[in-house]
Amino acid sequence: MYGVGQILLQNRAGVLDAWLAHLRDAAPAAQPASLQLLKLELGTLVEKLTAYFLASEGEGAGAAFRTVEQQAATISAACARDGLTPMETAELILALKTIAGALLNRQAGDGIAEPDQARAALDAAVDKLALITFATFVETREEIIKRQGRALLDLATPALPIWRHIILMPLVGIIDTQRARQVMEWLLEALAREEAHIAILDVTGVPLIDSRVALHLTKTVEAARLLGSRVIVTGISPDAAQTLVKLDVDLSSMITRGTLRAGLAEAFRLLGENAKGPIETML
Amino acid sequence: MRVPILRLGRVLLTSLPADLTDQQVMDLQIDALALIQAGKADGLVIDITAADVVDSYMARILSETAKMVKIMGGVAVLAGMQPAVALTLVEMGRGMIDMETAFDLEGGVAKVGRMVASRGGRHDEVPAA
Repeated sequence: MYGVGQILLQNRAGVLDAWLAHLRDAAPAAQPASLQLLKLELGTLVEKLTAYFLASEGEGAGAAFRTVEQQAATISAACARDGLTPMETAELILALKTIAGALLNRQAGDGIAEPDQARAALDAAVDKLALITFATFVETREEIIKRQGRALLDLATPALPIWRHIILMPLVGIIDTQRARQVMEWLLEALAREEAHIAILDVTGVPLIDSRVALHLTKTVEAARLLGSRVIVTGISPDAAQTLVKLDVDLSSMITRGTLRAGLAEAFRLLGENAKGPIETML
Repeated sequence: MRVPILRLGRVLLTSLPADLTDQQVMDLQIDALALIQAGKADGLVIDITAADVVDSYMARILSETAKMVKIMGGVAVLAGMQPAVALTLVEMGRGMIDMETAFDLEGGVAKVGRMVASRGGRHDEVPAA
């Protein structure tokens, strides 16, 4: 009498080869290097699955299946990082059903105990694995997206001390609420760090300036004022100016200039006016 | 304990401790106004470098103090706010702190000097002809 476990045990190499052949047909574009790695990982998966089916009558079935799950998750994460589509990844795991199913059919005459049940057990296990694969795939992708988002945020918002008491912060890209908050935080920290009196916020690289962005800008200007600094917003395009006026956004609390050059000139003018005067005048 | 108020020339200096109580800030307001009324100073610089938290009550008292000083002929400047405090105050709403601000104590004193000068000198004396 044979179970699925025994059949897999005897045909491990065959199953793995068939799987890899299937993989080559399904994803011919995959890199040879990652194929090698995948071969190793899939081999481990087959082994662990075998161990699970061997144990499935006994005590340690649950623990054995958890190691299978972990292995499937590892493979799925690797696929996600290699840029495979979710479909390809799911197909990769589901292919096992076809391959092992064919194996079971071939061996059906050789005295398998209850072939229907064996088939059902195999299907259930592979289906579960496919689900886990998909969940892990999505998780990994989301992690990648989050990391890229953070990297983008870091890249796009430097605060440059361009002159004594003047820092420049060029904004590039879409400003959403989270980003606006970040910009405000960094600007305030940079003001405190550099002891800057004036911050120039250049929005030339911001594609869309609407009332929400304007609100964020106003908040930033207000926060900087609380630190005793002034903010000059430069690079407001004609488009933005038209939009803001049509939306009736009040920007009167802000110093705005069309170009960075004009903003810098204004900064120097303000510095000349506001340069820390002699304290002695008060003594 | 009352928060001490120092006098540097004709500017009053005070530094708020981190654990300022509501009573202390009220006392501070009374003391500062009394000194200005006595003609001892033209300006007040309140340094809040030490404060990690400024709640709405404190913000209101500070703004009100500035307005009271102004009514009495003086000027008031808030100096040395921490970035985190500024952030919180702005999130709470605009105009929470309705007074002049400066980066640090030195900047605050300089600002008081400029404001008094632009207004035309001491508030309790007739300018020399």
